[in-house]
Amino acid sequence: MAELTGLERALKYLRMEQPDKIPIWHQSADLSRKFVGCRWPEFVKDPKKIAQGHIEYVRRFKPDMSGIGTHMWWPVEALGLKFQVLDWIVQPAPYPARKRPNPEIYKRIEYRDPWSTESAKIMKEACHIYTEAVGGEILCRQGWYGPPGMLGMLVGVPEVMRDILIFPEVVFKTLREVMVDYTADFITGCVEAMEPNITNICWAMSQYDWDMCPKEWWDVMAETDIACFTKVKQNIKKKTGKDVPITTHICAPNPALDYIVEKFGHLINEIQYWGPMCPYSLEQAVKNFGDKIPIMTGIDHTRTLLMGTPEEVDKMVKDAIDTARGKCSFALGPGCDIAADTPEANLLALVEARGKYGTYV
Amino acid sequence: MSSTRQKEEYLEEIREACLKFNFFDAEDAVEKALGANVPSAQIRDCFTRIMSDACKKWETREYCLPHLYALTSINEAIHGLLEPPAEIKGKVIIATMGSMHYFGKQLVKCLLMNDGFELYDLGETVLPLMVIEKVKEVKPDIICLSALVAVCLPLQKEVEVLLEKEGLRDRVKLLVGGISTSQRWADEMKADGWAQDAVGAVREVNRLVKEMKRRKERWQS
Repeated sequence: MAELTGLERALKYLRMEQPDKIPIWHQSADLSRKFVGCRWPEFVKDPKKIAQGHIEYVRRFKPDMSGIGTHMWWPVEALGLKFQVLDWIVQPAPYPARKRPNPEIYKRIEYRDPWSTESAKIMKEACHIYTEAVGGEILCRQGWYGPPGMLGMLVGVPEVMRDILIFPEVVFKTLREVMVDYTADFITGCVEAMEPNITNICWAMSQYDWDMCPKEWWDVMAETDIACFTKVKQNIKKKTGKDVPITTHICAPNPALDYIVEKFGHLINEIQYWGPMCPYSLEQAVKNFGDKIPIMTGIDHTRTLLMGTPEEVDKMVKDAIDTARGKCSFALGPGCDIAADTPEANLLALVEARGKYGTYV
Repeated sequence: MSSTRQKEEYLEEIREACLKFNFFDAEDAVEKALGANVPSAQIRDCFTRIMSDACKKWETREYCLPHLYALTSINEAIHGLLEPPAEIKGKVIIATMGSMHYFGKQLVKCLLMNDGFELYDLGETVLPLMVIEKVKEVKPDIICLSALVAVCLPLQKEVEVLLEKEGLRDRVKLLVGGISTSQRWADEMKADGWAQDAVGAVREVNRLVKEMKRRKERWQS
């Protein structure tokens, strides 16, 4: 088989066909920012620098799938979230419900155009520059949260979870009546920004987690996620005529993977989760649903990749490949964005190890 | 003064509100108990048991993070209503380094407050110099630093470096935690202790405080 491009490799993996090599996903807003040599306040305001940093990242570390991002807060800025852009991190201003639960906060949330803010326009432009440059070579894969995650960004994740315990109907009403439409319009815009390389819709589903959320809430949240991604899928189909696959991002410590497969299996085209740091082993995942859906995991970005040696990275990759190779459609991926201090040698060791152990031909 | 039986009833009311995670009812119940002269120490003990049970339920998966966070919110809110404990076990500075991921820090803070420590909470998005300034000001026994996101780990390390540089390292014990941390990380950055979870952090703080006291006693003898 001739050497495939990263994009071809990734699409074969998503179709559960055998590519030439096991594909790899990773990305890093922090390292990308470092490549263009600026601090966060400058970076977040400049679409060219955001794009340039991420293009450099792709060229240097050669992932088959990667994304472009800055921080988690701009997607809900239109709903009134204020955030602070510090030199080393961007984060929200203290949440109003931090100390005391307050149902009025949820009642005041109203639909706004998610693309009306300056940050959203900057990101849309950055995304467009990026996908024009690398979208023909790799699968652009930027995860966005569904309605529950977006509400968490806006009001505070622990606060929303606490408040569901105290006044569930108020929180769920806001989710259904405001956040579904807001999130659908937001994600549609994000996917459209990938034109002409619209390859997937990547959905973060981290709330389906045994530690994060009581099981009895999952169905209510799933209802809003399904309503939202049905809308996004329809929007994209109308625009492109294509049935674009839904990839996932489950950056949760103890994900309810069986529930996700059962509830969303007919809608999603991949399970990507935070192994080897979570109790759901790759072996178990392969056994339980490896015949049904592609699986991406295997890279520990918080310990081995960040603090380990290239030899340890090599072993981590080998272990994952030994477990999954030939038993499911498999890709290597971490649980989240790669941290700023991750040694370049470790990221390069990742590609090298994949070359050693993950080649099919 | 309320009778023992009446006191138990007030405490039971607090427990019931907490078990329903009802912030407002729990706060009312504490105010009512204080109004009836139930001593702050007994209310604090009541919260120690509530939080300790909650942590056990967390371990057995009966509770998730929202349950713990709801109880932490209640515990923190009522702490301001109580009189400080008669005897302080030690002074602790606590902070979430670099980011706003405060949940773990809040839980450790509540458990330590209930356990009789004097807490200085620097909050979130804390930078190393802010910790050093506070160390000079309050002369703590222990510094507890949390970091959830890996990008903030170097900030924990920088605190250790600055403590050394300022000649403060021998006077204080440094404990680190947070999901991105590990024993290996704690060893590498020369922390005195590491904890995987909140209960472990309280155990470690108690161990480190005892260790410091023993050392002081040895010096004095």
